[in-house]
Amino acid sequence: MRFKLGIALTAVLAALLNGCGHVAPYEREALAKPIMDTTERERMRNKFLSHLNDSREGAIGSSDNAGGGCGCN
Amino acid sequence: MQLRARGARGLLFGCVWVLALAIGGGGARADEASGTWSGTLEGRGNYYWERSTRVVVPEGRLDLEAPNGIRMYGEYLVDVISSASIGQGVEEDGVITELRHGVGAGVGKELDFGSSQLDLSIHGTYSTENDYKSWIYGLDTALSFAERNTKLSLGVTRVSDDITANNDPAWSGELDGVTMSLGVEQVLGPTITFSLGYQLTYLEGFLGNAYRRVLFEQGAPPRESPPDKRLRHNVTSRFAIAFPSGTALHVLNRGYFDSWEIAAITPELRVYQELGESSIVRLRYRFYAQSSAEFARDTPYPGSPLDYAGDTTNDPKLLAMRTHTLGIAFEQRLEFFAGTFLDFAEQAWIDFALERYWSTSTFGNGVIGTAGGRLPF
Repeated sequence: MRFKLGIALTAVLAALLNGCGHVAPYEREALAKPIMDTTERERMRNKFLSHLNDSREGAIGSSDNAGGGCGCN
Repeated sequence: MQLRARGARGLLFGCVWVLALAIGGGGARADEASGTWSGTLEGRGNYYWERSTRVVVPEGRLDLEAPNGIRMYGEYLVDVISSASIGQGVEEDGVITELRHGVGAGVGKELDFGSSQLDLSIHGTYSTENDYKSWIYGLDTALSFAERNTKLSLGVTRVSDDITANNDPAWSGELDGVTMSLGVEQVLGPTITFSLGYQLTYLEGFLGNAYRRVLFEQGAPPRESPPDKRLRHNVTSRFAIAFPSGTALHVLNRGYFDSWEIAAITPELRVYQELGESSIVRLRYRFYAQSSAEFARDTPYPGSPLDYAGDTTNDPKLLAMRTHTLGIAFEQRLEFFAGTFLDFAEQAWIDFALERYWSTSTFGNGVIGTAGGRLPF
């Protein structure tokens, strides 16, 4: 099962890296808009939400929140 | 704590190496010609409410970029937690207020090799409260190529916690862990991006809550005792597409499983809508579902603690549960300050967000509010 999952993920990665058209920098106006480029603007808000989720849900990940007494492990 | 002894020196050496490389190497940046510094100042206030807990978190962060391209940041938060839950050292029911202070900092730089760019950064966070100290530090690397159409990232993060219990001065615990993360981001078209990530986390030490007691059919409830090792796997993805109407759709997903036999899925949908050139509304829906840890029970453990040799917990978040979250956010760029004495804030953003979630866990439902502002300079 894990082997098949690994094969599938590798195939997706290969398709992503090789199968998509090249987009020149001057064609990325839409990607630079605030509605698409949200990483920095939402960084602190998302970190807070992640910390809350970490303290209330069993699945933790995708964040580097400090532990901090809440039993978030 | 073998992990603590083995991993700390290696990662520390790696961080110093990355820092030296970032400071010493790399091509020129645009700001190098003008000699100016740039940055962003951000302040936020966060509020969280549920049946037995209130959390208020004011926080601030300063990002700077030097003329030679070195980036750095510093951040601080204070977590004010008022809870009527597990009595941290008190014998009577009542509202307890705790304070957690967190400081963080990081340094990084992008090295431009013409056809590719290598970004190196290190980060560290220290969190302290009267019964819990936590160190988190790590390094991240990202390689961009094909005119930044593709970005591969690799990171490693260490966590090292020291735990005590206010109601039991003789007790103490440690927790150590390491996370390895891999990621790929790909521009799929002029309006579409996709990213895929994988995180592997290994934790070793006390993985429970020092105050949480476990109910048995007979005898006094002892401190919970979950397994002292945990291996977590996370697979995350994000697909984002922009439409000519000023709308963007972000579809996020996370699959999770760990060595405690918890499996979880977290699909999430975010819709961003431009309102004119300087306002954005965001709607968000998130669904979360998980299975139970193999040793968790929603009824008392059989027999007495003296006769029970297995792992135990009384943590509601280790039982099967589902959560629905619905949220709305509004963001506004302060362009109307242009030409006034507040002209410096014309590129600043302010935002407000309100979220409501419904959970089947015994923690119950909750409300989350956040407000903040970002000032570039």
